[in-house]
Amino acid sequence: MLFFLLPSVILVTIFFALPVVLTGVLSFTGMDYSFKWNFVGIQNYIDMIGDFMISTVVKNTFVYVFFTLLIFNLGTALLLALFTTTVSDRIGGFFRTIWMLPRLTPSVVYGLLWIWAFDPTDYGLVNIARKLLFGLPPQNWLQSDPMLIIVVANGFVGASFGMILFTSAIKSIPKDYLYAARVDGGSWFFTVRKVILPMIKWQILFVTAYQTLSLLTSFEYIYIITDGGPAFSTEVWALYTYHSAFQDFRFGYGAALSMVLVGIGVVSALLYLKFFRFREMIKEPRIEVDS
Amino acid sequence: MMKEYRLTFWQMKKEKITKAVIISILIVITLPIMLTYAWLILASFSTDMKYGIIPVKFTLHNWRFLWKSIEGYPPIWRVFFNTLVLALSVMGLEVFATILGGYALSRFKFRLRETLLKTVLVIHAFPSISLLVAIYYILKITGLIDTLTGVILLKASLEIPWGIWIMKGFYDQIPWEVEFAGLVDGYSRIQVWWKVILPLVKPGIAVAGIFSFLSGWSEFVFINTFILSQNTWTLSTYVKAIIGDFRFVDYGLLTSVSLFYIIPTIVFFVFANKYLLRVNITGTKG
Amino acid sequence: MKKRYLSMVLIGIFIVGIMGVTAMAEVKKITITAWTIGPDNPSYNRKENLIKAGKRLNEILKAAGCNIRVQVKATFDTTNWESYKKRALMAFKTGKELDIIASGHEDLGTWASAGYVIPIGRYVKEFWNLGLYDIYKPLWNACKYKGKIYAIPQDTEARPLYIRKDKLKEMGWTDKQIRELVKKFNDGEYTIYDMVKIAQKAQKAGVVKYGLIHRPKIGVDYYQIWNAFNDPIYDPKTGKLVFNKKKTLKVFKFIYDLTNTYKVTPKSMIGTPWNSVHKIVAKDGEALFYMGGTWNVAEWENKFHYKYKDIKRMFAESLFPPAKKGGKPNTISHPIVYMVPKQSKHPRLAVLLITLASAADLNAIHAVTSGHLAIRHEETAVPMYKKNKFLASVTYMLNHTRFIPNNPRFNEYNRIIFQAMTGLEAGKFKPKFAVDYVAKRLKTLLKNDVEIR
Repeated sequence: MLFFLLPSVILVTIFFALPVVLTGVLSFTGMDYSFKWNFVGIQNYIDMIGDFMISTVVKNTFVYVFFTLLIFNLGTALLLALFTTTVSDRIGGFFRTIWMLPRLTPSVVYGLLWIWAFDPTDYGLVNIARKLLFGLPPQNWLQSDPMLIIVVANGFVGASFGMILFTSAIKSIPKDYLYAARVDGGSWFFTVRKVILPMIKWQILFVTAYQTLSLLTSFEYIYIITDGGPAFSTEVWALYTYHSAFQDFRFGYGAALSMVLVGIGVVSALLYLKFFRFREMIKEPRIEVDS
Repeated sequence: MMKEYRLTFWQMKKEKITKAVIISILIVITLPIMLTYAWLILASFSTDMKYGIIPVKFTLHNWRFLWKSIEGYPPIWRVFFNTLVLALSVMGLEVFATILGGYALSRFKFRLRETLLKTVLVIHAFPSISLLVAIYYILKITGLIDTLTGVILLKASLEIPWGIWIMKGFYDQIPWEVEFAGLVDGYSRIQVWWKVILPLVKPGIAVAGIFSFLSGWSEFVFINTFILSQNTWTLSTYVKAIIGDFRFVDYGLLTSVSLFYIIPTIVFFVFANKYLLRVNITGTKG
Repeated sequence: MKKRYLSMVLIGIFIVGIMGVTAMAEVKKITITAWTIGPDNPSYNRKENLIKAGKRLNEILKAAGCNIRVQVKATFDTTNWESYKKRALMAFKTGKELDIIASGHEDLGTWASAGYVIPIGRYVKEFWNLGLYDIYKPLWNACKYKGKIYAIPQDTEARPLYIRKDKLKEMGWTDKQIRELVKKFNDGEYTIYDMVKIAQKAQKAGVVKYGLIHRPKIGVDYYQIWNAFNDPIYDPKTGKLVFNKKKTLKVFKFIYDLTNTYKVTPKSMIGTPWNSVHKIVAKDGEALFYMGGTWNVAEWENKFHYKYKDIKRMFAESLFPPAKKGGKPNTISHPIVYMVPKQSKHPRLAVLLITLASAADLNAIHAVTSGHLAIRHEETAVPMYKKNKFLASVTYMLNHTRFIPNNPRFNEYNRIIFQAMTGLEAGKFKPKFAVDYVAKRLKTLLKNDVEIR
């Protein structure tokens, strides 16, 4: 039995358990590019509070997470699930498949697509649309609304997670309920409000909780598209951590910043275990073995 | 037995209108995705794009990177090879560890089982990105910085918990009578697993294999952080560098390189749609 | 009987043959590993000259009947400074095989103080008469840290202010007026504000889109603005980096105004790819002034297939003007130097190779091919160098040149300044805020290694 678990346990211990502990330890050092272990106690944490970029970073993180979650990870995901289950399965499936594309595309390529879309000249998609629809001149989005760009770019990826979960949940609602609502003269909105939404409450809660954590720690697309710029206007906490550690070579400080995320991660994971009835997923095994 | 419901003529008409409106909305919000990917394909074969979306003239010049090195960049085939090695190794390692681990967690009863399962879940919910600093240090002292091996081990390790969960789901669907029969016939535990059970979870292995391959293929952050020399670049860092250097100047080159890079993704998309449905994510019953 | 003799003779020949072959195979090979960088492509001779030096050395060894051969394994990085320096740090820490490394002289401070590269003063002394005596004395200042020599100069250059004179002509300027303009910049009669005014006129006349373009990525060029305002970043007496709040406020205001008030520079200047910059400046002619480097000419000739007559038709070069009338114009030189890492097993041989690679003819090839300036007297007499009119026309700038300090913490100082610049040009940082930002960050990161005045 040990044989079965050994490879996984070894790998996960080295690259997961160990780093968690190490991050904690490193956060109490002032390690920089010379990789010297010099313990400085809680100086990093004090610096963190006094770091005047921190308020900007926190604000950016909050704005980014809030709007992406609301508009895309929840909003658009729900809309997509509701819409694609209302129309025929073939059409619905078609749209759902397209919405999976962003998530499955390698991040650098996906980033390029939005870099083009928000291109400052009239070559970019958004500026073309503005010109065709409203006759407006091209705008330099990177300068004027960088937060908009990253919310949209991350949103189109984020929406697919909720979309899948909500869709499978809606599909398991007994058809009787839906027909009953239809016959009772309910509009589409009525059906949604009174029948569907209440039945997928668990999923909505789960997506909110899970995606909040994902968004708090995401930075890959932001790094590729704006790199926190211009001038820290899209610098979120996770990206600030990355920059501190790998651009400024402040490993100790970076570890301290990471610990905040680690802390949030651990607390969230434990909350999931408690509230989302994961015990039910842990079923007893079929065969009694004493190995 | 479903009861018979009858809808009035107006109700049916209303539903048709609703559906039409819904489809229009869907088209509008899905348009950005469709347009951007269309641009990706069209721009890579076109000399210039009018209004950004209409190709002007067909050309293969943008694809010259396939046979001629771009100045200042490593040859594309070396980078392609690195990416392939990374993806295949991650796939191999992950499949290996998860077909073993998933079985153990599905079948064996042991004291730490529940703890282990909880740990797997905690790990999966955990943001691995926040461990980058510590991981950098670990890779440095094991001499694995700037090697593909380091990234392969790291990537596989962080995705194994999720993989074990998926495989466990597949194993759970096999009735235990199958193993029981095998054991009665005199097979050892391992033989039963290898000869009898494993072939039955082939779809699960396929799923795990495909997703881990794609994951390895798309990997960017770890390569960007831990790989320093150009010779060990993968397509992700190559594309990022090209975007940085040729943005505004040569979108044709950017799109063709990117299209080249996402070919496996597209292949997967076209052929593997139905397999997506087989993955049983337990517990999401509303 | 005959057969036995034959076999003995054959065995004898066989044995002698083996001995002969092993005697020949006794050639001892020493491998010298070298890292060099452009990142601009035309500077590939930084690598080539080392390889040629190795070949020359082997010829000498062969002629002397010596069985030792030197093999030079050299690489040339064309990506960018940042990743090259990151790799170098990695190599130092892991003790990877490395005997020679080329880099900007400012890294000398960091690397020497951390013990990554060794002082080579005694080897330099040993090989002084082999050619090192000829190198321009001021260049050695960029090779020292705390008084010890750690490097040998590889090249130097200057940073002119490029002026698109063909665009001025489109506005109606004559050759004489253009020559006068250059003179006024070089004499300090015209200031940076005069430069801005001319730029704005050109933009208004519609002959150019941008008034002033500068480097889009982190580097050392922009410190010319600091020099124009007489804002020091280094105190040679204490050896520490300096941040003068009052003076830098003026510098930051100027930078802020470039994009926000005068609007001669685009707000997205920082972050534009180099390819775009070259296209704007040298191909499409969309900018009037460009703060560039002498090596750009070689790059443009390479990229856009220009001949020198094309360059001459388009550009005039001058020093960077001062902020106040009557002040001193300036340019900055940033010599690339060869250093020897601590882990090298053949430091003496490495220095010898560098000495040979610094031969006047080899360095002239590099200078002419990549648009750098001579590092030694003999080099200016090499026909190839003499013939290059461009280099000849700008060598005078070396008389007005300054260096950035060899301070181990300069790279961190520079990063913070550059971040502030990015914020200023984007309009997101106001000058006062930027000064506070830099002061606070410098204090946190550099602690006692910087003096805030």
